[in-house]
Amino acid sequence: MDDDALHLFEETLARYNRERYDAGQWSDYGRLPQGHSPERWAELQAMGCFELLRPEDDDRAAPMADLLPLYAAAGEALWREPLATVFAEPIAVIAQLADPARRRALLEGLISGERPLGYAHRETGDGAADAIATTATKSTAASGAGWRLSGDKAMVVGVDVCTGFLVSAIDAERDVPAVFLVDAAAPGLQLQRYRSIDDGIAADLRFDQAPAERLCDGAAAIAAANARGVILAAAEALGIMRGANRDSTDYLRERRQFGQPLLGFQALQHRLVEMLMRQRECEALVASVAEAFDHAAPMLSRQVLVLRVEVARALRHITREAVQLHGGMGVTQALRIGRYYRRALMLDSLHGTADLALEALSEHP
Amino acid sequence: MFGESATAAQAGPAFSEPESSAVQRAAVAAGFDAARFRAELRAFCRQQVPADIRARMRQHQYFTRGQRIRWQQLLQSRGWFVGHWPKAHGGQGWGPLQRFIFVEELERAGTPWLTHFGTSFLGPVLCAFGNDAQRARFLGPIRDSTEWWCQGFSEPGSGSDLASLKLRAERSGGHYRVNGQKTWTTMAQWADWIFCLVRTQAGGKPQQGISFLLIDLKSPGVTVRPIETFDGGQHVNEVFFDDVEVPVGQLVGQEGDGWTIAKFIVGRERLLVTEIGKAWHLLGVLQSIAAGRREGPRRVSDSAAFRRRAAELEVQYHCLRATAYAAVLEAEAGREHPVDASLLKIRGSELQQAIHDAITDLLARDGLAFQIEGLGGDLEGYRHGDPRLPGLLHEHLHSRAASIYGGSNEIQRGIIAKTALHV
Repeated sequence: MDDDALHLFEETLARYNRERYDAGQWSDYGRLPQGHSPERWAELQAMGCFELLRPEDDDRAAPMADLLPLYAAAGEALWREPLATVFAEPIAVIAQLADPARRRALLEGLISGERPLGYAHRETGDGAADAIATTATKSTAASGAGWRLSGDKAMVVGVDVCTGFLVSAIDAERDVPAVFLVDAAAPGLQLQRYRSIDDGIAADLRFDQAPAERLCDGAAAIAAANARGVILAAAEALGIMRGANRDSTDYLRERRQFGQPLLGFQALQHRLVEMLMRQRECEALVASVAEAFDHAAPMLSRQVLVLRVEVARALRHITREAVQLHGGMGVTQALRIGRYYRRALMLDSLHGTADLALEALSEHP
Repeated sequence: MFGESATAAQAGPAFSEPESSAVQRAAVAAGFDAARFRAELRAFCRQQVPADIRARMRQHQYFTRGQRIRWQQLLQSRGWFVGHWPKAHGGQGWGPLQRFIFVEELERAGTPWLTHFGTSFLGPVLCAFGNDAQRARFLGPIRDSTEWWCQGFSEPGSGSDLASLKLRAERSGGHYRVNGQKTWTTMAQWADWIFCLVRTQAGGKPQQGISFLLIDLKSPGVTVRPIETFDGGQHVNEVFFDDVEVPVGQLVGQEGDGWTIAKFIVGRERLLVTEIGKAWHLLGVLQSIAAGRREGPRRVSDSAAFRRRAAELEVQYHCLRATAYAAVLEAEAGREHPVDASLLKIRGSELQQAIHDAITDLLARDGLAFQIEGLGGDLEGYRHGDPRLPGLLHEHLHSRAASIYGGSNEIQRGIIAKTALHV
């Protein structure tokens, strides 16, 4: 997208948010059993958002830069729809497939909205998710030849829309990590659903000799999926920062104490300014790392770690300050602020915490 | 990945930080090749720095007036010192991006800071506001570094509240009579000329009635008195004016244009205050000190505590650099984000101070000798600790001023509150 198209897209999203995600609406979506609104999810598809994933040529993924406004809009308005099952990790994994026909089929399943895929990589107690205990063995049994997968995966998001799961496992034949596709209705797959800190729906997955398709080798796919997930989560975080900063500024402008608006107090002004600065820094960082990703720039993995640390910290800072600046209202369910705070906690936990990223930076200076 | 000039220049990979494609595209649009320009600057800094200057760079010593002038003249031999001036006035017409890359590379190499009062401030002011006679008289000596300029803005009662300044200039015939005082005047002890904000009219809004006057420091009635700073250096001064006669031809623009010109100056250099290249250089210094020290059986650079601290600084550095380049690209496109200018000032100074804290904490393990006589040359007699100790401690102390001068960080936060929050 060129600058004009991008700007137009942002305006469309802003209008959509005003119409669909106002103060009276967003909290209702969360009370639905799916944890999100199927109508909204269908609308995103109808608006053509999924078409953003269609590559210009077969060999390259559509640019990440085009997705940043979508994720920012999602962050700001607290969308509950399972974007990741279409836009994030699955795209990166599919790009690694050697068979072009299979690659096209899976990608088409995402773009058409017919086959969203969950990303099941993380295992219990392993936030960084580098160690994989799940294993895949090749069965030659007469009842059905092919791969069988066994193990446990933790906190897979968006499970209710998924028709299948991309699962990292050790390929026992060659003792290397690989990524497998398991059908959501596969025998031997059990889901335990629960609410997550951000009021979403997540699930732990147990595989017991579940039939699986081996898609590709693991290391590169997992790294690419992680980078993609981190960058898009950072874009969502930007939206939260924008919303939290705007709400806090508006609140301080309206709320009067001691005979003047709270925004008149310099101590509070400077705290808001710090929040604005962190937002601006993250905007620059997200754009630069997304661009590096699209151009497969050298040192990308290090840039992703830097992004991971900085955005998580800035987001925590801003949402924490937003709660504080809203006073008692900040800890109620009545305002977006409390939801922002909890979504921020969730985002930090999705791709290994910022602490782990900082440790990775320290270990390989 | 960070490198000190000496080792990094040989090692190469320390410079492998990739040029973003957005920067490459903007450079092409501006008519230059970013990678080639950087390579040219790096080669120049590697090969062309005179030995005596390089020796001082290595030890972080203070450069003499003569050394600074020689370095500036060397840069101008390539047309770089005033590269950012319009072509019509002897420059190369660089835009903000090329200028930024130029300064970043010089800072990375640790070369002497370019005194910007003439080249970055007055030169562009004369191009934009001056008359032909003033340009003909003053631009050449700035370009050639044959006249040294300093800046007379702050006064004892007018620091953050600059518009309250009182230095009086009263018109009588073909002259102004100037009476009063400037302070915190950087390098006035070395300067030939000073450009001053003066009050030519009392009453009305404080911003009105301020004018921009060029004053020869050799004029009768001018006294320059040094202010001792806690870093042991002498770089700031008080400048007194006692009935100093200044020809009216040395007024730039019209009477009352002073505030506009002052804002023009602040706007010009708002991106370069980040000093992102200097931060990169200092991170290299930090790494090299850690690698050269032992803590029991292992190198300090292998300790988890040090590495974590270095990683934190690296995150801060990359975040600031991304922001700085985003701001430069905005400026290159003729736009300005309401938060950028003050943000770069605040974060640039915070990062520099944080790196100096880390460096000093390493040096402190041997005890902090302050042999300040080692700042301007080699120590005679006994030297305690790292040969860079005097220079690095001086730079640490001096870095505390980075969040104070040029509008303190509190003032910068106030500016953001005004422009972005509309308070």
